[in-house]
Amino acid sequence: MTAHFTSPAFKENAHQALHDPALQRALGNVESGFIAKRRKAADKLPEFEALRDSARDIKNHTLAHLDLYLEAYEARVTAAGGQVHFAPTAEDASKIVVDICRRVGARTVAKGKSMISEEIELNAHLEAAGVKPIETDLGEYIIQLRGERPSHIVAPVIHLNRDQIESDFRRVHRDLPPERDLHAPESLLAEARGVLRQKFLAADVGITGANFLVAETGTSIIVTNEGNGDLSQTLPRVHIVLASIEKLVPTLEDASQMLRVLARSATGQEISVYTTFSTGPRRPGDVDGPEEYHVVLLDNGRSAMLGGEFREMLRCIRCAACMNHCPVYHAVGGHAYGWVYPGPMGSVLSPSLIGVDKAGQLPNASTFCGRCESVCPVRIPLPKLMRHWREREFERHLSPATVRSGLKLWGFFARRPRLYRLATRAGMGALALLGRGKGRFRTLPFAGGWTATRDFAAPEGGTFQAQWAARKERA
Amino acid sequence: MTPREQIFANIRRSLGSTSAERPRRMIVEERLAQRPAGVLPARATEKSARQRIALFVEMAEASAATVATVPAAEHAPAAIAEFLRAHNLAPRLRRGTDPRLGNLPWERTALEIATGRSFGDDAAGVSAAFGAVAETGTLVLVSGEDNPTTLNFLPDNHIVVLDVSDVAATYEDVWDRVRDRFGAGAMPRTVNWITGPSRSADIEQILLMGAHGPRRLHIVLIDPEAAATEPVEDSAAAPAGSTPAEPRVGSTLAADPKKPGEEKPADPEQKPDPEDEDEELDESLDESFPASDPPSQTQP
Repeated sequence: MTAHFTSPAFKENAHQALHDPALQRALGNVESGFIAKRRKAADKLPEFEALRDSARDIKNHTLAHLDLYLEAYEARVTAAGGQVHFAPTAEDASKIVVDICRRVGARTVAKGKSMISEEIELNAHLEAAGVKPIETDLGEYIIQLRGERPSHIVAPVIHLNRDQIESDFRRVHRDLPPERDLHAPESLLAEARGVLRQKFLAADVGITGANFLVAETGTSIIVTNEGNGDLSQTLPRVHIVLASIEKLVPTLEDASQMLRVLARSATGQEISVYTTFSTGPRRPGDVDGPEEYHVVLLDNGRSAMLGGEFREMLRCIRCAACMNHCPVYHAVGGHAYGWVYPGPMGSVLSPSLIGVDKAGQLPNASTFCGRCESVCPVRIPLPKLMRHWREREFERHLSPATVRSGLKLWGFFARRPRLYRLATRAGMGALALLGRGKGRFRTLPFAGGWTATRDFAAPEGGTFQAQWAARKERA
Repeated sequence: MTPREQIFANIRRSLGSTSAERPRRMIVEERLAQRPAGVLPARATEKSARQRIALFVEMAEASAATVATVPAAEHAPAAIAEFLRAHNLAPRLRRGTDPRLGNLPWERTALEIATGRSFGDDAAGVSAAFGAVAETGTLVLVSGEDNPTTLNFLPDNHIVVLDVSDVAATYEDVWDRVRDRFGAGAMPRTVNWITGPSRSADIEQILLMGAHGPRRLHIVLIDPEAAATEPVEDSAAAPAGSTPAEPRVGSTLAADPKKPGEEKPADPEQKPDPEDEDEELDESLDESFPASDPPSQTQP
């Protein structure tokens, strides 16, 4: 099985998204909700900016010593009776999980929310092996019913409206009375809770992701509001944690620093409802909890990123603040990005994981407004990293011919300042003359891409450089 | 090469290291041994013991938990019975074998008590907290026969008995206590931080309570000095079984030992309107901790 993505068709995806009224209605909830909530939570904690520095420093320190912290982590998990499995590729990780499920004779698997599971397309692998995966996070459950991918890394069904969810529930929950009232979101939640409760109790294996791994104690941490991750990992006989290698932090103190910025950045909560620290399987005397505890550590290109200019991306803690504040995400939603990780973090991460030849369109989908960097809890310079990808794309001749020749033409003038000034002055003068009286152009030769959706303003006054020179003279 | 060796080799190639370098190893060993604390929120660290309790209650209530304060452990069963009655629930519950719960005078109530883990048939579960964190109103529970983890998640109503002496300022304070109890580098199978009842905002970003875990979280706080900070018993604005937050808003936030000069004196006559409680709290927080405040500590 190979990764499924539509990232190369970003433009077509975006076009469709912009003309999808239901999607546009649902996307309104991103901008109206997340931004104000994060702002309020950050404002309430005077140490928030200092904590962002702290979180950045912890991640940088861990990444610089990742081999040693991984060794320490592995030793602690083993000492607690758990088992660490190393998966260099997505394929390897799925195979490890499938093999464990087969060995214990698992028929169904209860899953907490995990982006790594999406990245390795675990559900398809499980189904192929005759094991039934059941997503238990409300959003992920809905996604699974629809055969879709999450469109947001924290709120998977942010692209849907309640009536769409209602019709999915009516289609799938056939054994419930058809005349039941499902219009209120409360009744949708209650129905999912009832259906899933039975599945938790019947599952043979529970799979969760991990928000952090702690080297000091061999602990995996999950952060949820629903409690589904806790039921997934407490009730079944086997607990498998899926995590990528960069989730590590040194100590419980470091984890606490990270947790102080995570929920505030993600949902604007002071802390999520459930933060759960798991270390190994059931202990002697325990009356509940799993009998086996496995951690599958995924690399999938991350160890290579560690040595390059995209290393800073490995600090990401998947809070989704970048996409919540992104005007491009607000306009097209998460599915247009064509793979697992949308928004600015996806535009930087996806080319690293599936190749710039496939995901090169994504770093171009940016206005470079910088809001993502300004809210990132670990201060990843997302716009800078997107620019790096654009350079790579250009170097590897992946940009379209029109872009390449346009940039070459501009480069020719830019390297010759006198010629540049002369040409811009001449061009501006001509446009000003043509546009006199109208103030704007409805169409322009070679600028159809611009004027198809908006007018082009006719220039007034001198060029920027000329105005700048004049201003400096005055001062 | 095994998959494990392959990943380690890749990491070391990227970092330009051999893993044998003494200085790198020493840096890591030192960090794991010394565990620097980083930035701690002054809202919790700069409080007196009494203010810390009030902050805990305030934050727990802000997370939609309810809090009942009793002056001694022996009153906890009655408070729990009252909570069940107030919510029209059968007088039945399940608890672990924790002696702090086992020693309570349950016989003084008409409650039907079962012990052990839950299989999902219980309407109410009762746990004893290992600790709590004032900065966010968070309960800390540890797994084991004493307090089975299933009781935290399966019953619709989770009731947690908490001793006031176990309320710490920060998460870090609780980690110190975990190390004292379980040994450095070791952890119980599960540590649960719980802040409020289960919820989901997945559908249209509308916040709905009671997703998969408990619909209600009720804290029974054993606080012998409670009367000192809670003079008024006015339950008009508060949910049933909850202690009123109103007088505490002032008492928690008015006195800040670090900046006496900047602080407006607390006016005992001026009580916040219960309708505007949240807003008042936000404003008080803003006033007490202006954005220009230097952080108490920075990460090395």
